[in-house]
Amino acid sequence: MTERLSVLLREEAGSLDIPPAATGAILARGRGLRRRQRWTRAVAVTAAAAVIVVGSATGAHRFRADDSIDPTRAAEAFASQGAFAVGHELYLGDQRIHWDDAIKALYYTSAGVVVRSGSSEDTNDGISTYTLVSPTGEKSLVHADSSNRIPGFEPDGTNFAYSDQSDGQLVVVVHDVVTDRELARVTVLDHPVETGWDAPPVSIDGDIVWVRTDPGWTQVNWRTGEIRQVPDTADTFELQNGRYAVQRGHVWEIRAMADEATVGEVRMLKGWYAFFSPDGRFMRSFPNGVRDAPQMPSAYVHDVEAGTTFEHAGAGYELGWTPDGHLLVLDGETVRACEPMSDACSVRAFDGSGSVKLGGAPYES
Amino acid sequence: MAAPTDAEFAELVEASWPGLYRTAYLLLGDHQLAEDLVQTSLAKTYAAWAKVREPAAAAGYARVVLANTAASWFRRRSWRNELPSEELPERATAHAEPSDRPAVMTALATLAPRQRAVVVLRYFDDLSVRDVADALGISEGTVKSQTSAALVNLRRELGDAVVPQETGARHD
Repeated sequence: MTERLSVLLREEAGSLDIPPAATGAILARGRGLRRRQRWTRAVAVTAAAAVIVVGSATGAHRFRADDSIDPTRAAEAFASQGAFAVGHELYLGDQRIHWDDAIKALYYTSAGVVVRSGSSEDTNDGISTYTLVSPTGEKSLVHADSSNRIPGFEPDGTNFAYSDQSDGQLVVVVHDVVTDRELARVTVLDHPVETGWDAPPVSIDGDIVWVRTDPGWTQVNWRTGEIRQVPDTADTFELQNGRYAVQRGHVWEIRAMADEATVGEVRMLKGWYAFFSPDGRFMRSFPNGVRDAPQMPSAYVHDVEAGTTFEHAGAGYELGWTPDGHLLVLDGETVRACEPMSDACSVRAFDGSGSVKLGGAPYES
Repeated sequence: MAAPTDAEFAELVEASWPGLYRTAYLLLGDHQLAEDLVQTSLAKTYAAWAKVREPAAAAGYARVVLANTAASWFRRRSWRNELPSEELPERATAHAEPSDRPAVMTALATLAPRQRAVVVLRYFDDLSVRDVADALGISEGTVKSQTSAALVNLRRELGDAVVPQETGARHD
C-alpha cells in the first residue's frame, strides 16, 4: 500500500542533478583509512612485543631516582637521551620518575617532555591527561581537551596544537605548555571532517598549524587567522615540523609546507613505510605489510636533505627518537640511543615491567 | 579478496555513485552532506575491501556502509542542529498533491533521522526489514516500530492518497 510513496521517492531521486564522482579524493581517503588500519595492527603487534616482564638489567648505566639535579646537565641528558616509559616508570634523561597513571604517549617540547596518560595505555581509550615534565623532573599539568585525537608538538617550541569539532565546526586550538594558557582558537571549517578520530590530526611549526581536511592539508596561521589549502596534499599523511612526504611508490619526495619546495628524497624498500623524526630531519622506515618480513627487521634511517640511508641492523619495530634526532631502539631490557647515521649508541638499562612507550614514536591509532 | 587496482575501484565508484548519491540525498536532504556521505562510504569500502566477497557484491556492501555511516552521523549529539531540516518550513500543506515532489522532501524532513532512514531504505531502496535492521544496527522490531511511526507522520503531511490509512508496519 506504499507504492505511491515509493513512486514519489523515486521521482524525487530521479530528478536530482548528480554531481560527478570525486574518484581521486575517494581513493585517497580510502588509502588513508587503510593505512590507519595497518598502523593500528602494527601498533598492536609491536605493543604486544614490547611488554616487558620484571627483570634486572646488568652491565649498563642505571638511573638515579632522587639525586640532586644539575639543570644544565639535565637539559643535555634530555636532549641526547630523550624519554621513554616502561609501565608506570618514566625515564627522562638521567632521571627515573614514578607515574601513577598508565602512560599513553610521550611528546617532545623545548621545555621538556609532555606525558599523555590516563586509566589505560591506549590513546583511544578514555580520557587523557597531559603533563609537562621539565628536564629536571618538575611536573605541571596542561589543561587541554583530552579525547581521542592526535595533537601536534614540536621539539623546538613550547606550543602544541590540536583540532576540535565537538561543536560541529573544525577548530584548531594552540596551547602553551609552560604557561598552560590557550593562545588561539581558529575556526577552519563550518562543518566537521570525517577522519576516524574525534578530530583530524594536526602538526605545528611555530606560528603555523596544519590540519588534515578532505582535500589534503589546510594551513592555518594561528596568530593572524590566515587559512590556505596546501595544494596536492590529498595523498600526504606524514608531516612533521613543516615538512611533508609525497609518496611516489618507493621514492618519497620530501617538501616544505611553506612553499611546497622539494627538500629531499627518501628511497625505501618496496612495501616499506616511514615516519619522520620529531625535528623533521630524518625518517625511519619499516616493513609495512611485507610478506615474510623478519620478526626483527632492520630499521633504516634516512637523512632527508642528504639523501643518505643508514641500516640499524635488527633494530625491529619498536623505535623512537630523542629531541636532538638520535634513534631510540628498544633492545631487551635496555633502550639504545643511537646516532641516526652510524651504529654508535649509548645504552640505558631499565628495571620494571609493563608496556614500553618511546619518545617521538606515534602511538595514536 | 585482494585489494582492487585503482582502475577497478574507479569503475565501481563510477557505477555506484549515482544510486548511492540518490539514497544519501533522500536520507539527508542536503547535497553537500550527501556527497560527503557517499565519498566516506566508498572510501570505507575501499579500506575494507577484504570484507567484500566478490566484485559484484561491492556496490551492495557500499550501500550498507552508507546506511551504517549515516546512522553513526545521526547518533552524534549535534546532528539535529546540523540538519538543514531545521531551516525548512514548519510543515507542508496538510494534504499535498501527490505529484508535488518538494512536498515529499519537506515531509521527510519532519521525520526523526532514524525514521527517515527506515523509510528511505525500505521504500526507495526496497530493502527488507532484516536488511534495514542490519544496515542501521538496530533490531527488526525497532525497524517496524520506526516505520509505523514514520508512516503516521508522512500520512499527516502527504495525505491518505500517498500513505493510505491501512498502511502499517506489515510491509516487508
